[in-house]
Amino acid sequence: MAASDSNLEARVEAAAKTGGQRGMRWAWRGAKEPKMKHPPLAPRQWLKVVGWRHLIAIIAVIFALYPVIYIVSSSFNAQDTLSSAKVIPDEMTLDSYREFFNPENPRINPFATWLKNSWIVSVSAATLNVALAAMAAYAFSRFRFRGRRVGLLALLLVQIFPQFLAFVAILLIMINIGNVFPAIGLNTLIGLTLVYLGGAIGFNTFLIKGFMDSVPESLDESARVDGAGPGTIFLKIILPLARPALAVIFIISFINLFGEFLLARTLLSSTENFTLAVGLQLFTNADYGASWGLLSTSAVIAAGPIVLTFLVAQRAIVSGLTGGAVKG
Amino acid sequence: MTADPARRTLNSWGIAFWFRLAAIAILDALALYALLFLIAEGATLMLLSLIVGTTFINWVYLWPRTKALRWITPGLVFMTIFVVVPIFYTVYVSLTNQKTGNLTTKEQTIDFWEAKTYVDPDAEGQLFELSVYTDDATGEFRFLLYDDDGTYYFGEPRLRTEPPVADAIEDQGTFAAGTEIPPPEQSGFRLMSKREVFGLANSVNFKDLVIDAPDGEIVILGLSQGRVVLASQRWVYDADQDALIDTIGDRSCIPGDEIATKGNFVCEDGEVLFPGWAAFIGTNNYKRVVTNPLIRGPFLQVFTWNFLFALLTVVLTLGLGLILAITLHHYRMKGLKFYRSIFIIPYAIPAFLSILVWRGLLNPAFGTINATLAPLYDLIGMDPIRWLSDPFWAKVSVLVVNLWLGFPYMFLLATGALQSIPEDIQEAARTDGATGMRVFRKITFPLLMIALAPLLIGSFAFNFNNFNLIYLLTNGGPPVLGADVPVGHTDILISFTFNLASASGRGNNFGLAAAITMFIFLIVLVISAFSFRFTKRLEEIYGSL
Repeated sequence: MAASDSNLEARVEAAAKTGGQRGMRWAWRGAKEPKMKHPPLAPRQWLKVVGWRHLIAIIAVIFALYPVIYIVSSSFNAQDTLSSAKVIPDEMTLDSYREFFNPENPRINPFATWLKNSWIVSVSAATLNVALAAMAAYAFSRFRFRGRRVGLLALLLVQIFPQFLAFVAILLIMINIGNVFPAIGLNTLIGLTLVYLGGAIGFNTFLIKGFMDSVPESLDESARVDGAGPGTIFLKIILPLARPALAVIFIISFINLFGEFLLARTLLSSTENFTLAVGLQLFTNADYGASWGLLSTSAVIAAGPIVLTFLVAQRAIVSGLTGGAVKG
Repeated sequence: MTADPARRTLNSWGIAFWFRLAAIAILDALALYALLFLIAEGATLMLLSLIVGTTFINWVYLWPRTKALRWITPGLVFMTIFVVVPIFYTVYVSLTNQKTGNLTTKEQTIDFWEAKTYVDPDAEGQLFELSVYTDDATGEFRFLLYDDDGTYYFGEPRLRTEPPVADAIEDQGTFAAGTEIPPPEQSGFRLMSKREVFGLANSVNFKDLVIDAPDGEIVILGLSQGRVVLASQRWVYDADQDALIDTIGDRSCIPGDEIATKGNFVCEDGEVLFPGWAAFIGTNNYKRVVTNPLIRGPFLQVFTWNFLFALLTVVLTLGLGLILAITLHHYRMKGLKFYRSIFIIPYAIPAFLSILVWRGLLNPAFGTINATLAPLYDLIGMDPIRWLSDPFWAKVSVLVVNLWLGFPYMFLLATGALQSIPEDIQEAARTDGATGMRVFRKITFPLLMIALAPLLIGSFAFNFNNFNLIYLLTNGGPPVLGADVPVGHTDILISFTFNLASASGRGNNFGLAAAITMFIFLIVLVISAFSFRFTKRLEEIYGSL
């Protein structure tokens, strides 16, 4: 999940910017003309200047949307098999959607369960993760204590290794925990949530700390003069100011966990506990072509809310992601 | 933030203090509860961790001078258990022989063998009458065996070929003398008629059935008779000789001292007893990777492809993203928001979903891509491309799908970087009269690369371990034939490791998998160090910001 030190990356971006200002006297001719009204172009000129750009863009749009349109149309296709899937189905129906939400139907029921599991695990792990990371970030950002530098360095070092790389060890640990406490061990959603909870804390602490550092300390100072303790400052000043950043980090964490596959596949073993990623993978291994319609329906239902969130909060999420977090 | 001194005290000390105390009390109660379980199970290591952890938490929240730690500890605890400990534990596992059949301690292994019973299939045993019960709701069967004295067993039969079932006997005891056979106490079961039993015998041979009893086995002889045979202990552990004695075969088995047999008892006649225990085998897993040609070959192949895959992915996604960003970056372009929203869609869809969809699109027989290309194949007289099952085309598929998944990110990055090039340079470029192409090649592109380089390294590191793509699209396949380990042509190190640790059919080889994980750790570390130095150098060039 973690790429590398976001702080540094932000600095590098800034470095590139200033580099441009200091050293560069040249620029690419096409970039951002002065803000004035441009006279309309003659058609031939339009083709030469803008038209081909649209052409390339439209080709890219087709590449980007082809699988998406295909899967959406498959979900409405009356025929269920892979070989009958087309961009424009012969016969449109809502049957597979109705099936999806029908708990009586044993054929589709696991999909709804898997989707529910994915949501429960990702939302609870992401929420707790951001909360714990925010607390730790607050301490690193505001307190001066012995071991602070070492702590930050250790955090930096730990978050270099993606958690899933240690899946063998995590599996063996969870087997041991499960032997004594079956409720939180192997093959439980709680167990998976706990594992996820540990995963991105280091990286998120870094991201949030970077943001909290940009909140001026004079605000805390004046609150302290008014008699506020660290808890009050955290809850009443820092958190409200950090809310947009926390929201973005929450969304990114959520999406990462929603798509997490390796650990979920390692730790979950019974059908009713699968997350969507695990369930769909095993399902497609067993029964690919025949239930293509159901697969596409669950893909549309699962991806829909996330894609919408992305489109609505585009700017914020993109700035968060390009700031160093890598989406899985 | 109120100025009232009384309320201030309440806010910052009173409520917080009692809340903290209550939380600690609940936590300690839970820890104590867990403690009892751990003592009962004899899980020493977990017991120690629990005691140390709980003491630490108590200290942090009760000692008055631990301000910062109070905020850090909750996150620290989870990070320690599920990130830091696993990293070190991986190192340990890589030095052991842990695999299917070698997971427990030596004591547990000895217990396992001593508890193993032996039933002589030809022993006489005692004869019992048999009647069959069924539960019409679930379709399950139960057998009732009874003799003239009124002794009876009631339990669930299994096929002789299947593994033994614990608690197969659900009821046993004696009837009062002279009474009819009573119905079983288990609710839901009813006695089957003779005719029904004959029907059942058509689908399953009763002579193949046994019922596991606590002190032996109940062998079913036919439709109406069974035999109870007592079991005996076969293996006895002799602590003085550190040997397991086979009382039936009359031989002794001692712990193996070669690498291959470490952690298992080896008998005089050379038989190696599975399961064994987890034994420390030093650097042998690493040696196997380096020296065994049937592992080294696949490992090097996977390693090479892994690098190539990550590198090509970065180059391709950056290429397409950059071309699009530059094409769209023009003052007369309209509809930028629209294009941007479209390009973000492949990025917004959870990757595992789109990968599974692509797998369907690329399906050689039914997929729409080959269906679309069919006229072309006919025209040039070519066989349809086997996208996911031909070694070369599988690699192409992996790269194309990853291009689709990754170009939006690069497009967004490149657009951001382009926009960050200040506007006033425009004027200077014009005055100096450089052509657009030359300025781009000599200035804009290098400037872009400097801004993007750290993120490109990040993307490389991410794709280096892009497990989801490989596992979900090709599962590493098509398989490489003749290797000593399960491996495929598109496998990258992490999917290779995963299959080593959990391959179906060949067992789980945790030790070897952990050793290869250590190689991945090393590579990740090198990439990070590289990235770190790189950004540091940039800082030196442009000054600390």
